[in-house]
Amino acid sequence: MKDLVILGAGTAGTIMAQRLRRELPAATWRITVVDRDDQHIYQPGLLLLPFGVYRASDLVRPRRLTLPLGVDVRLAAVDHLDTERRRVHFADGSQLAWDILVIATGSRTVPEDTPGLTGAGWRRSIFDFYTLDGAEALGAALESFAGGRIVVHFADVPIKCPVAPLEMTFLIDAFLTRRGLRNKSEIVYATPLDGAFTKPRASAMLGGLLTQKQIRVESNFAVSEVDGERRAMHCYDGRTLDYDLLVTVPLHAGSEVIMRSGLGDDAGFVPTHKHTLQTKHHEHIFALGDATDVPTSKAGSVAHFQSEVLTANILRHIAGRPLLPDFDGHANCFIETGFDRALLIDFNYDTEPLPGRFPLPGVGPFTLLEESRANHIGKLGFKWLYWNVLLAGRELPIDHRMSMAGKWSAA
Amino acid sequence: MNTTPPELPHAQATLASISHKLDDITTQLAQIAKRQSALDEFVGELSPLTRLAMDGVVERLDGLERAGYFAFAHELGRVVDRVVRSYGPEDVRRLGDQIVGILDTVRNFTQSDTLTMLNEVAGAMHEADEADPKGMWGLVRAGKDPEVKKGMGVMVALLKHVGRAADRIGKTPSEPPLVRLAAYAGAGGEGPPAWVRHLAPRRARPVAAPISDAPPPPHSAPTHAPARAPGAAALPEGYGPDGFLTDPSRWTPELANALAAMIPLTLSDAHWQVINWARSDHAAAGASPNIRRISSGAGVAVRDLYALFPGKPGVLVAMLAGIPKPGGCL
Repeated sequence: MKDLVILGAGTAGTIMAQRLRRELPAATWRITVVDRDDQHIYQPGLLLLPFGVYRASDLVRPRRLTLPLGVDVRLAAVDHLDTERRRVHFADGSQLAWDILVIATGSRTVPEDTPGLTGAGWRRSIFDFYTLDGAEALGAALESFAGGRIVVHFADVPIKCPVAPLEMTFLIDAFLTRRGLRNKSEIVYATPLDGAFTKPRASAMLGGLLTQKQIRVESNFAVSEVDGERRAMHCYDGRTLDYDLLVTVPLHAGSEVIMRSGLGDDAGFVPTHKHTLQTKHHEHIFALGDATDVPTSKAGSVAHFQSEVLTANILRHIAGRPLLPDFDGHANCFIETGFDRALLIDFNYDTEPLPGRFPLPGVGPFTLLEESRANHIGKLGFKWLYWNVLLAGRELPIDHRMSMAGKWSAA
Repeated sequence: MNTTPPELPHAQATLASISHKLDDITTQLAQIAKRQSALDEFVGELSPLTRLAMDGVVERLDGLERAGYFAFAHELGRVVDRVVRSYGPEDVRRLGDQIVGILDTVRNFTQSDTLTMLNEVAGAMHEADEADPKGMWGLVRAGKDPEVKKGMGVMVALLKHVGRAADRIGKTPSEPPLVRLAAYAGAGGEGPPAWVRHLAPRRARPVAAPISDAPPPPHSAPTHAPARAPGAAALPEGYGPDGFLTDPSRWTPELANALAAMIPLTLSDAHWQVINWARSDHAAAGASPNIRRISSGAGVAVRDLYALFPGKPGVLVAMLAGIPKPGGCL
């Protein structure tokens, strides 16, 4: 009996457990999934929760119900990994051996990294929405907001769902407009990047969106410190932004288990071959999802596309065949723009988001890089698909490789 | 406190009934499980087939799109839209009344001999520039040409028909629009009717420029876009419009110096330490480092990075190191 251990039962880990349990014979391979708790959160829903679209109970399910039958589930805190002896060391002192390890530990926010962020104003005038209680607190704060300046910012790249801060900005604009508070409010989008959009085609097509919605952009704003008492956010270059309400996406890092085990880079992300998803440390350790350092978005769609390649590669690894360099960085994201409309982008390592129709060329129903009602409906309909198709490791009728079909590429 | 014989049979009966119920439940569970596994199997079989079908549809639609069908349909939509906005229901009703007449006219015009004649006339119109000017004598001389003679005959016959039609129109003022068009064309008068004016080309509607012609995005301030900086020496090939190298292997230290001069910035050892570290990190990790990573990797505090590369250290380091512009996915 051989042991395959999956570390983390989020989007990536759950899909891998489903796919591998179907592919690996139960007689020769035991699969164990490890996570510290039994709460699987539908993270895309956190964006819409503050606006009353979802309740917290809509977004949480027990991990045991999302994982397949026939895998061992171990809900316990991990202390560290011993890559030499191939063992997981749990905090309670017990151990678990692996022949193959799949790292799907995701990423987490570290608000403590920014001085002052979790100080006086935390959850009173400063809100994160990447956690369930943060998103709920933000919803309550917006309900009682009577006008003033709202600043939305993120500390640095990489973050999960890189478009979320922009979506939050758009949704706040729509929310305040509906409440009749927009003319009493100012919305500022502060980004450490060179602008709200950094890719040529997206800048050209969407650059006007922020002016049109009267959202002020503060670019190259790398936060050095937040003064919660005075409600001021400082930048390393001396700029200061005052706020009445600060919506923050704190710095991201990889799992503490990864950092303690010396498997990560400075930020705790696992150095991983970007086409095969084998880690650079160890041939028996693979990684996918937000936990890796591969240069594509940290998003559920990426984990899903990677799972197809990684399943095939783990089977090849077991059979002693060379791995296929098949992962192309494919990502695919809805972007809420408010007022019941959304954008959709589809891209990979080499191709920036392009306009067009998706998934059917010329037909859609989704419009790439262009606002539409259909995209918004797609975003809302995705929750069912996530729980019932995606997490079950079922195939979507969309290839893991990005397709140029339906895209209007630059002539 | 002795044994309780009267209760024993009762307990046995209860146990028997529970056991029966358990049997029922087990059977029902087995049936539900069977149905569920049938459903699972169905979905399992269907998924790859759906993908296959989807691939086929995508391929076919992609072919249509490349051939220009969707762009054509889109433009056709605009044409229809223009017609709909220009015609009132009254106009359409009158057009409907005349549909047989219109089709008759179209049929007469599209007879092969008529088409041949019209085609030749159209050809002659194209060569009108080259025709010699004719005076009175020239006209007389040309009149001897048998082809011209024939043409004059046709013209006279045509004029006769036009005159007859005009005569009829004069007597019936409530003639439908199409005949009134003939009247306008032949006899002049009070000007074209309203619906004819609608047919004339209207002010061109601003048509959205095709995507491919979109100008390069204005997302880089001019001072930081050396390719467009005033008086900038022409950059070697391999630079994108944003001033970032598209191929990091074409980088040289001289290039970094030239770029720095345009910012303007004089590169010190401290600058070089950061630039060299960023290049080696990009080569190892395959992505441009963020400010925090530069700070810890190159051993320079973030505040000092802002002093070395004013305003936007992440962007400037990438530009000078000849690695891709750090950015999000959008």
